[in-house]
Formats: sequence, structure tokens, C-alpha cells
Amino acid sequence: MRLKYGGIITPKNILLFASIIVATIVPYFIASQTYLIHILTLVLLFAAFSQTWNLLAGYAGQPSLGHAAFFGTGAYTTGILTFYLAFFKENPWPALFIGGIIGATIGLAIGAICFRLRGPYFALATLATTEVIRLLVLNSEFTRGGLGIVVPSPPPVSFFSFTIDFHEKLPYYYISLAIAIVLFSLIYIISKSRYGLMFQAIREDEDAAMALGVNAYRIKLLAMFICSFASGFIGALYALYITYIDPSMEPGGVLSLFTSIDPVLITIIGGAGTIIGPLIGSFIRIGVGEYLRITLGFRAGMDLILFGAIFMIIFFFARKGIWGFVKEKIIK
Amino acid sequence: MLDLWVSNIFNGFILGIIYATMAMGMSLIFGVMGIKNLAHGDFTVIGMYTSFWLFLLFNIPPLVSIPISFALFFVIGMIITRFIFKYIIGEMLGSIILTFGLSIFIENVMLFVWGADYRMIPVSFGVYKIGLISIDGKYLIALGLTLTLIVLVQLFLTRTKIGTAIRAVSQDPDAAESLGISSERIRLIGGGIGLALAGAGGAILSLIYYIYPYLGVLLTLYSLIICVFAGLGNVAGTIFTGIIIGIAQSIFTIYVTFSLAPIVGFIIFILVLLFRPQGLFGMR
Repeated sequence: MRLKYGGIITPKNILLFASIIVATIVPYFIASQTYLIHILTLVLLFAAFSQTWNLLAGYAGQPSLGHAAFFGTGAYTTGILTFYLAFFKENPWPALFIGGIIGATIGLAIGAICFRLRGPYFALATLATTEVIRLLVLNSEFTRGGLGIVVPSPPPVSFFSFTIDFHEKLPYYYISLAIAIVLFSLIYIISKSRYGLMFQAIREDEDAAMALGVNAYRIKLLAMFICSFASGFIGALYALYITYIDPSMEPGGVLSLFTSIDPVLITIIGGAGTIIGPLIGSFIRIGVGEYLRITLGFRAGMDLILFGAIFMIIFFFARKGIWGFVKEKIIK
Repeated sequence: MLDLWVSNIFNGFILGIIYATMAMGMSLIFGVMGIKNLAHGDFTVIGMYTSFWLFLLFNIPPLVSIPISFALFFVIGMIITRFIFKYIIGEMLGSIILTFGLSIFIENVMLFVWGADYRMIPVSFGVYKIGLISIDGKYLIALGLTLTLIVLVQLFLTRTKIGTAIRAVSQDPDAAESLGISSERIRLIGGGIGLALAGAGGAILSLIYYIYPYLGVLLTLYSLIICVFAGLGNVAGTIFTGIIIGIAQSIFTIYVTFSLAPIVGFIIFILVLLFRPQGLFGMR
């Protein structure tokens, strides 16, 4: 794959570099504000999670309505491994990769069945699979049913005289930041590569893409693999961070519809098919959601009413989301 | 054991035929506008709540609230068609994403206003014993009402001028326009009847099923599965598929817990996709 560089030192790159430095340094000095760090961590995690939806739906045009299936199985992988095996209690980090692999297995299985067909089958199958997995987890002894699993925090790690305590929030912030940076760069590179163009060709017109020699089935599976592996990985990390997972239908249940809704809301509000979109959407979704919770007191459903309305308004008046709107109207 | 089987199959049969009513509405909306309405089940749940509150607040019996729901949702359907569906006609990706947003909105309004409690209409029509099995009167009434509704809608679609126009627009909007049919007006009526079927189906379902805000997702999935299998406009196929899913679900609950029952529909769905992707009834 080839990238076009218009010189390294452009205003865009300087801004990007500066914001990464700010995102790295500033939280270290405000580490005492644990609530703020917590929100920033969630913003980054959900931005990365939504970016995977963006790849699949925004670029390749395959809207998954059951992203919780990958996220939740990733989370449950960490949960089950740390619950049953002593090795993972001491060192849960390999579980993140196993979570990714299991998420990808489910993703590829759904894709292999549904991508042969056109139409709503894929959206429908993802929605249905998530519910099947949730009900199985809820009714199984092995996954501790409705009790959920308490995930122990990883033991502290020390380098020389420097100790990282995983009961604190800050380490997770940096891990999330790293994941977000890696995933955002990866998807940026993909979107500029041959494969990114193939994804977009399939989104715009699958028949035309196939006539030009794109193996649509295989390319869609590739998008699915990247997306479900990353979602599983992020879900596994989420379980370590939140330390408790359960299969309930309520907001916060890792396999619930709410988990599937978030990446859709975040990406569409921020801007589907753009790289920055999910980050903007995540700031709005998590930030405004938390703000509402603090100021108005929480009542179930309140924030999603607002976001459902914003979602529809944005869909009607700015199909490309906030970032697409800004790019079209202000930057140009 | 036999009586358990027979009464479970009977209950599943009725549940399935109600699902089929909803699916007919969804299929109608898809036919005239090319929209996969992912908020369809949520309108059904609103229909259930309508019937519930009419009973609780004004003591209106569920039998009366079914025509009320039908009329109410006909109007709601026309409004939704005019202000929302009209702008996404024929868009595959757009219609899925937008109606998903609509579904999030409706579900959470219901959750916010009415809470997450499971509710049921406290009404009884007695229990009848037929041979070995005993049947709740509610189920018999639900069966009668659903069949009436299906027959009436079917007569409307095949015997009246507007019904014929709706079918013409589903087949080919451009050809219909060229014959002097205003496809915009027909879409309004089609959307109205589509959601009216969802609402009235909900009012009937509220007789025999419990009500909670997030039931909508499940009902939408069932309707979609039935639509996908039966093929468009295939009324007999729709009813048949609905009944299969309802009965499979009811038999399943004999062997495993009640909360696992929804899985059956999805398993059937995946099996059919694997082995018979053109749907159960021939053409795609």
C-alpha cells in the first residue's frame, strides 16, 4: 500500500502531534481527578470501539446492529479465563488477545453465512446473534448466569523503582489511548489503501465493484475480521477496567442492546466514513450522557431519548455527521 | 404429557398468527416504500401499552381497544410516512440506520415514561375444557380477532380500488404512476395500514403476553424473519411461517426454560439462511 505524503510538516500533522502530546501529558497531572480520568478513558475506549463499526458500516457499507456480540464475548473471555484459571488471575493480559480471537471467530461465522446474500440479512443476523449469545450466557451455569462475573484487577507491575498499580484509573487511560491511537492509525492507513477503496466501492455499488474484479465476499470478510477482532480486544479490556460484567438487558450489560447501540450512535453523530468522526461522536455521547446524569439525576432511558432524537436530526440534515458537516461547510 | 403438548402447540399457533399480522404490516411497508422498518416492533409495543392504559384508566375492554388502536396507528403511520419514511424511500442502508434510531428513540421514551416493569392486562375470559386440553378463553378470542383482521386486510388489498393500487405500487411504482396512480398518496395509505397492523397486532398481543418497553426488538426480529422467509406479499407464506415460529417456540419452552425461547426463531433463521437462502417459499 502506498500513502501520499504532502511533506511531514503540515498544519494538520502539527495539530495532530500536539493533540497526542496533550492527551499523553495532561492526564498525568490531573490524575487526582479520578472521575474526569474515568470519563476520558471511556471516551477513548468507545471511540476505538466505534471506529471498528465505522470501518464495517461507514466504509464497507455493512451496518452491524449487534456489535455487542463481539464486545461482549471479548469481555466474557476475560471474565471466564480469570474466574476459572489461576494463571490468568496473575496475568490477564493474554486474555485480551484471546478475547479478540473469539470475537473474530463469531464475526467471521456471521459474515461467512450472511455476506453471501444481499440485503438486510447481515444487520438482522448480527442483531439476532447478539440476543442468542446473551440468552445463552444468561441461562448457562458456566458463565455464572445472571450473577455476572467479578473480574479481579491485574496485580501491579513494576519496572525498576516505578510501579503501575492497576487499581488506579490512570494506567487504563494510557492503555486506552494507545489502543485508540493504534486503531485510528490502522483504519486511516486502510482507508487510504487499495483495500479502503475496495470497501468504499462495495458500499457504493456491489455489482459494479464485482464487475471491476473485487471479490466482494472476501473483502467484506476482511473488514469483518479486523472489526470483530478489535471489538473483542476492546471488550476484554473493558471487563478488566470495569471489573464486573453481567448479561443483563440494562445499560451497562456488556451483551445488551445498549452496547450495540453506542457505536452506531457515536459514529453516525460524529460522521460515518470519516476518521475523526467516532472521536467527536464519543466525546459527545459519553460527555453529554454523563453531564445529563450529574445535573438532572438519572432516570433510565433519558439520555437515549435525547441521543435518538439527535441521531435522527443529524441523519436528516447532515448525512455525513458533525465532522462531515464541518469539513464541507467550514474548512472548504 | 400429551395434553401439555397439545395446549402448547395451540398457544404457539396463536402467538405465531399474531406475529404474522405484524409481519404483514412490515411487508406492506417494504412493498410500497422499500423500507426495512426496524422500529416496527416498537409500534406494536405502543399498541400493547395503548390497550393496557385504556383498560386501566378508562376501563375500556381490550376488545374495544383493538379497533381504536387500528385507527390510531393508521393516523400515526400516515404521519410517520409523511415526515420520516418519505425521505428514505428505497434506501437500503439509510432505512436500516434511520429506523434503528427511531426504534432507540421510541423504546427509551416508553422506558422513561412507563418504567421497565413487566405489565399484563388483568382480564379473564374463563377457561374452557375441550376433550383432554384446557384452553384459556383469552387465546380463543385472540385467535378469532387475528383471523378477522387478516381476512379484512386481505379483502381490502384484493377487492378494493385502493388496495389494488397499493399492490400496483409495490410491484412497480413507475408503471403505476404512468397509469395515473398517485404513488405518494398510496404510500401514505400503505404506511398507515402497515403501522395499523402493527398497532392492532399489539392490542391483540396484549391480551396474552406481558408488556415491557424493550419487547419491541424481539418483535421486530420476528417480523423481519417472517418477512424474509415468506417473501413479499405472500400472505399464505407469511401466516404459515409465523405459525411455524410460534409453535417451535412453544414446544421449545416445554424442554428448556422460558427465557431461552426466543432463540428458536433465530436458530430457524440461521438454518434457513444456510440451507435455503432464497426463503422458504421459492422466489427471493
